[in-house]
Amino acid sequence: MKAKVAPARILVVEDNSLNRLLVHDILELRGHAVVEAATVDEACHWLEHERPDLLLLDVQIPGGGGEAVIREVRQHAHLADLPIIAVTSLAMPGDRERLLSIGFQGYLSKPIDTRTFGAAIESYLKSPEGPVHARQAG
Amino acid sequence: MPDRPAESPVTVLVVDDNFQNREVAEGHLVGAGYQAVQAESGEEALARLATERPDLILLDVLMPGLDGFETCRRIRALPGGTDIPILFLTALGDLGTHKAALDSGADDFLTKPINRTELLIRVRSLLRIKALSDAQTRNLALISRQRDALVEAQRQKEELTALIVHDLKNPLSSILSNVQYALGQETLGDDERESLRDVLRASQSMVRMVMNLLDISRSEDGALVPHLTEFQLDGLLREVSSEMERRIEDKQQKLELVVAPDVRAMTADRDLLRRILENLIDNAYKYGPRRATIRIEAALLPRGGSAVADTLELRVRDQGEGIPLAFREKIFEKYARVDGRSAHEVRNSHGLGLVFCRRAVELHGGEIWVEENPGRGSCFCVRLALRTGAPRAAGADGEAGVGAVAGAAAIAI
Repeated sequence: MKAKVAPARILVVEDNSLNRLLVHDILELRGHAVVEAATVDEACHWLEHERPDLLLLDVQIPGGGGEAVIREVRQHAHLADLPIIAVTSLAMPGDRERLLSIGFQGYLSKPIDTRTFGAAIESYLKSPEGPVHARQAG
Repeated sequence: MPDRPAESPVTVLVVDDNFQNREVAEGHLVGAGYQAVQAESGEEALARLATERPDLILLDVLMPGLDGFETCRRIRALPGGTDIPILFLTALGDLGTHKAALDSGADDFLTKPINRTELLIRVRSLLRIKALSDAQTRNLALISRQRDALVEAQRQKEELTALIVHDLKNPLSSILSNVQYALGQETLGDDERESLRDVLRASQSMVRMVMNLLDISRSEDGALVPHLTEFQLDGLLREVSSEMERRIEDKQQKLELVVAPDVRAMTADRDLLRRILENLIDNAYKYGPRRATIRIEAALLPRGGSAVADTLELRVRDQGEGIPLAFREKIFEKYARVDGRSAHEVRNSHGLGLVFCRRAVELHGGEIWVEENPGRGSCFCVRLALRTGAPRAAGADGEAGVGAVAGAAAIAI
C-alpha cells in the first residue's frame, strides 16, 4: 500500500552505497523525497541551510560517527525538534537506551526488512502531534 | 527518479495461474509506472515470448501444466532468453524451492504473499542490474570495434611508412653515387669539395636511417632474416673504422680500435653486424663533444664452465653526457615512454639506430645493453655467439640452439 502519511523529505546519512540505495528505493517507492549523504561532512553541510522532515542516520558512519551529526543538529535553531532515527548494526544490550539518551528518537537495527522498514520510518512522521512533538511539549 | 521508466515504458510479464495474484502484482507494478502483461500459464508465457520481449518476468512456481521451474528453463533456452531477468514467486519459507528456483535460472525470488515495497524493490534492482549489464555489453562491443579500427589504422600506417621508406632508397643511392663521383673530380676547389663532403655525410646518414627503418619494419614482419657467412671480424672492424673516421673528422673526434689478438673469424650476417657498428659509432659521434675519442673494443669472453660456444663482446665507449639509468633500457624500444616523456623525445636523443641494433643483435641470439663508461659517457655492449647458427626466429634446429644458449649465457652477467 502507498504511504498513509504525507510525503516527507528524508535525509539518509549512510556511508555504504548499497545500503543507501536500498533505503533510498524503499522510501522513494513510498512517495518520499530522499536526500543522500555519504559522510558526516556532507550531512552537516547540507543541514546548515536545509531542514528535512526526518533524519536517518547510520550510527557507525566514519568521520565522528552519528554523534557528530547529533552535535551539529543541536547547534542550529532551524533543526529543533528534527526527528533523528538511528540505523545500526550495533547489537549490544544497552545500545538502544544509550542512543535514545543522546538524542535519537528511534532505533532500527540492520539488516533492514524491506517489508516493514518503510512503515517503521513513517511511524515517526505520522502526525504533527506525534511522539516527537508530544515529548518536546512535555 | 533517474532509473524509473522514462523514455519507453518498462514491461513486466506476470505469469501466474491465479487471477487474483496476477491482478495484485499488476496493480503494484502499474502504480509504480511499469507496464504489466499477464499470462496464466507457462505455456502462454512461452508463446508470448515468441513475439514479445518483456523487460522482466514475474514467475509463479506452482502452476498446472508447465511449472515455474520448467518454464524458466525453457525461457533460458530461447534465443536471447538469458537476457531477461526472472523473479520467482515462491511459497513462504520453502528453502528447497528457493534453491530449485535459482538452479533453474532465476535471478531472484519473492515469497508470497506479495509485499508491495519488496516487489518493487526487487523489480527495480533487477532492472538496474540488467541496465548495467546491457551497458557493459554495449561498451565491450564498442571498445572491441575501436580496438580493431586502431589496429587496422596502425597496420596501414606502418605499411605506408614502409612503402615511403622503401621508395626513398633509390633516389638516395643516386645522390650518394653522384656525390662520390663528383668528389673524385680533380678540378674541384676547396670550398666545393667541402660542401660536397657535407652532402656526402648527410646522404650517408639518411641512408643509414632509411636502412634502419626498413629493417625494423622487416623484423616486425618476421622478414628480416640474417644471411650467415664466415668472415674475418678484425677485417670488418678496420673497414668500418676507417670509413667512420672520415665521418667524424668534422668534429675532430678520434677513433681508437682495440681488437684482442684471438678475435679472428666469426659467423654472422656481415652486413647487419657492419650496420650495428656503424650505428653505435654514429651514436657516439653525435653525442660526444668535439675532439672526443670513440673507443671500440673487441674481445672473446673467457669460456665458462657451462658455455658451449665462444662469445664475442664488442664495446663502444663514448664521451657524451651519459644516459640516465631510467632510459638505459627504453632507448632500445620503439614505443618507449619514460617519466611521461614521449618515445619521440627519447628517440630524438638516441635515434632509431639503437632500435635497429637491438633487433639485429637479437636476431643473432645476442644481447645489447648500455652501461656507464667509467669516467665519462656511455659504453654500449654487444655480446654475440662467435658461431651464430640459424636465426633464433627460424626455429629450434640444432644450430639455432647454440645461438640461443650463447645468448642466454650472455644475459647472466
